[in-house]
Amino acid sequence: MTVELLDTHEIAPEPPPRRASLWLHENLFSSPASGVMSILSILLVLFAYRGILSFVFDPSRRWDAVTYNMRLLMVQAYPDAQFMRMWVSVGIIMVLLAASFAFYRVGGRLAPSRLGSILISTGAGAVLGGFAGPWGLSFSPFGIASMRGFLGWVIVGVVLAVIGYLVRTVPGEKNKDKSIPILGVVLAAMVGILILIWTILLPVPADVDGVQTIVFDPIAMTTRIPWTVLAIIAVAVYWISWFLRERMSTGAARGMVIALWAASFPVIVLVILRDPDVNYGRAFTWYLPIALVFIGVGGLILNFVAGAKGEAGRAVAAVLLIAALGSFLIPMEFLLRFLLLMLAAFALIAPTFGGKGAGRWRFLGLWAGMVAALVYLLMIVTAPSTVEVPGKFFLGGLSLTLLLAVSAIALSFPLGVILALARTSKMPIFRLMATVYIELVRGVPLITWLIVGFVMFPVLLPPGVEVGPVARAIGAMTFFSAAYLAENVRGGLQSIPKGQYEAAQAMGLSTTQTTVFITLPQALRAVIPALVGQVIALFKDTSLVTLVGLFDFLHIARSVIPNQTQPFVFLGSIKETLLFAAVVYWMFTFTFSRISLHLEKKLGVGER
Amino acid sequence: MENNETPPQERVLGDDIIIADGVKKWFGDFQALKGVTTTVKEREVVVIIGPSGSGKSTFIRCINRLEAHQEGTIIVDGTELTNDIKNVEKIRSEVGMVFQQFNLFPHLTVLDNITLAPQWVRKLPKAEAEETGMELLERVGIPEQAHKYPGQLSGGQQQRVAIARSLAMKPNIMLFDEPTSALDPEMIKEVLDVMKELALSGMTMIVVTHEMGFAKEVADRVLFFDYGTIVEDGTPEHFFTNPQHDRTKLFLSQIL
Repeated sequence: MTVELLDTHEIAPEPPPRRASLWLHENLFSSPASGVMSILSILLVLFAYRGILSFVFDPSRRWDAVTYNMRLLMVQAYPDAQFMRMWVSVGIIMVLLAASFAFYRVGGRLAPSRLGSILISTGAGAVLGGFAGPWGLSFSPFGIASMRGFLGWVIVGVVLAVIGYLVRTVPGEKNKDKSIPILGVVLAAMVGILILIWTILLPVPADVDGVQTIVFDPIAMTTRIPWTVLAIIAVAVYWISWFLRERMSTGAARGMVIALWAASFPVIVLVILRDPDVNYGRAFTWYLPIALVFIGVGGLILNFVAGAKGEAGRAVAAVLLIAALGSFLIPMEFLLRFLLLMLAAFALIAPTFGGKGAGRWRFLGLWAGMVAALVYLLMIVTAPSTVEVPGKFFLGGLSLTLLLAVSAIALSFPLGVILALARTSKMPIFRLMATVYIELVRGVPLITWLIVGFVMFPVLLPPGVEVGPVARAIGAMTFFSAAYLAENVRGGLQSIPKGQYEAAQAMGLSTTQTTVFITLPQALRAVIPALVGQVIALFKDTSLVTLVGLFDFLHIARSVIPNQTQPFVFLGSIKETLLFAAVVYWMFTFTFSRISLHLEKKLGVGER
Repeated sequence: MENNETPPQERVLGDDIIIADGVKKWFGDFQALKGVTTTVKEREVVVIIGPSGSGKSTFIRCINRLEAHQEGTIIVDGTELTNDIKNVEKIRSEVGMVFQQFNLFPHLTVLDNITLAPQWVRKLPKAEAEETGMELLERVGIPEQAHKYPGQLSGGQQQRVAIARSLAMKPNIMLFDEPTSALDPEMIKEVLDVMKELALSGMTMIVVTHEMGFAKEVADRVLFFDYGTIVEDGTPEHFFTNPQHDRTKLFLSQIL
């Protein structure tokens, strides 16, 4: 039996209709009402655009207040003599970024048509700026000065649009599906920025015969050279990582990058930037022996607990926990208390995660690493800093804002997860404690907790123990943010289908193992948007520390620069500094939100 | 598929491995099980059929304590199911279960789904667990899918992964809770083939299913559940040709 089948391949697909008039009709003028709305909205956007341009390019703006004080805004008064430490820190971050880009294969490919469209629309925006700006035709159409501004914008816009058009059409029909790697575009942008750094003239204040005026100067060599060197290093590291990537296992490489990121932050802040003056005599007679004893004896105990049959292991863990909690009742070095607590925590999880053979060695290795890290951390934190600054703390400005944000985010994540697990636990006492904590902390404004941390917390500390102002601010923000994070994570935990728990139980996984391997990873993926929202909120909330006397980025922009009278007068330049601060905050939060979108796509949130 | 030509009838049954005596279970005021008493022998394949709501799923879920029965006793491989979590975890690691909705872990690859429990419950080294995992994937016929995620697989493939995942714990008993009910018709056969092979290899199996062909061909015994009790208990031959109870006759007349 033969059936006459229609060969669908014979009918060539027609291209979809793609006329400008059709697009306008479908998207802007589909009905009289929508046409009116479209025109009104376009007018509103143009009006806003014009307003922004008029503000930024107004000749009376004091942008020299921002450029002259850039270093103050970034690092406050970090001493010149030790400024190399700052560059080394930035360098470490750039090197890690470059390595992560290579090992995680960041950056897809961009179709030429897309890149062309971006360039054409940017060009169109610039041309529009020529007309809409304060130099535009409607202001003083034939004035010489405004003519220059007008022509500059139009020429730049037309050039961009022409490049965009060429990018779209030159590859031709045949190559139109060939794509450009995004990182190539990023590299081109980096080269562009470097050229800009070496050529641009920025407004700076100058003293001409005792009168303060604004002159246009190139960027200082002390800024140009380090950034150029760092950019070259970053590109080199990217290529080296690219080369290494083909020669080592992806898992090992990524694990290494993650470990380096985790270690980089405390090392940068506490070792490189703070430069502790460690007393090596005490290090060898006190810290080193303690670390060795805990690694050795603690390791033996953990090895026993992990391998013990029946209840003996759990009994030892319980005794350790009681001893650790009891140590808070008797006078003792804080270090020993922390180590005892950590030993108890490790003993509690040893029966579940202790493993066998290589797994056991990995577990004991983790213990040794944690002990070493904790002892080292306490040693350098208690040592005095060699960085001499006039204020309370060795960092200020954007660097302090980032320090507060990263610390509070990193610390509040584990706490938030623990609270969420406690609140969904089967044990009523945990549920009650977590609920009370969350409702209490969420119910009071963050600024109240910051003030509590500054006024009441020091009273509660035992005599002789001092916690610095930045650490107290980090603590308040951590405890506050953890309550919000806990509620987000709880939402994720509730979205896990019952079948996942049942499957895990049916295979004999314990409750802890089910949580760690099955439910928590899925719950965290499900709430990435909410978690990133919390990160963005916390990042912006760091600006509240100004109320307890810390000089964060916003404080310097809002209060310090507009009150400057020496050596130059910047009184009343608050409009400029605030706009600059807003743009910088926005650049960070926008990056977070882009990363969140990317993560969501990559981890397939919303598809099971 | 292994080349095993031994017909199922010639499998030698062993001692009693599951003993249920007067098992009762309530959900609130609703009584789902009204005193179920039966025994399953080693290497026996028991098929449970019955209308929905008859308690058949509840019964097999009681066997590995996904549901806790309130009265009666269940003894699995010499261990009585009580509230003692140690007993429960011991039984769960010896009893495999396959669910209607597969319940694979969507964030783990197929191979990681299979090796998770052997690594963390049996504490096998990773390499050994992965070797066993790949062998099991060969056995269910989809080794090439090892590094994909469950969401990328068809329903039949997912259910075969779920069977391999249970087998990785080297269970003595396998429970199947309507393993083919969520599958497209063309995928049912590939799952049933795997289950037949498993039955031939001597696994003790309790299968809740609506696949009468499977019951006729593979089962040693058929239990017919209704209203929370066992209404009819006998060989497939007896069950399909000579049912004793009116309720069974009515049920069979509706589905055959």
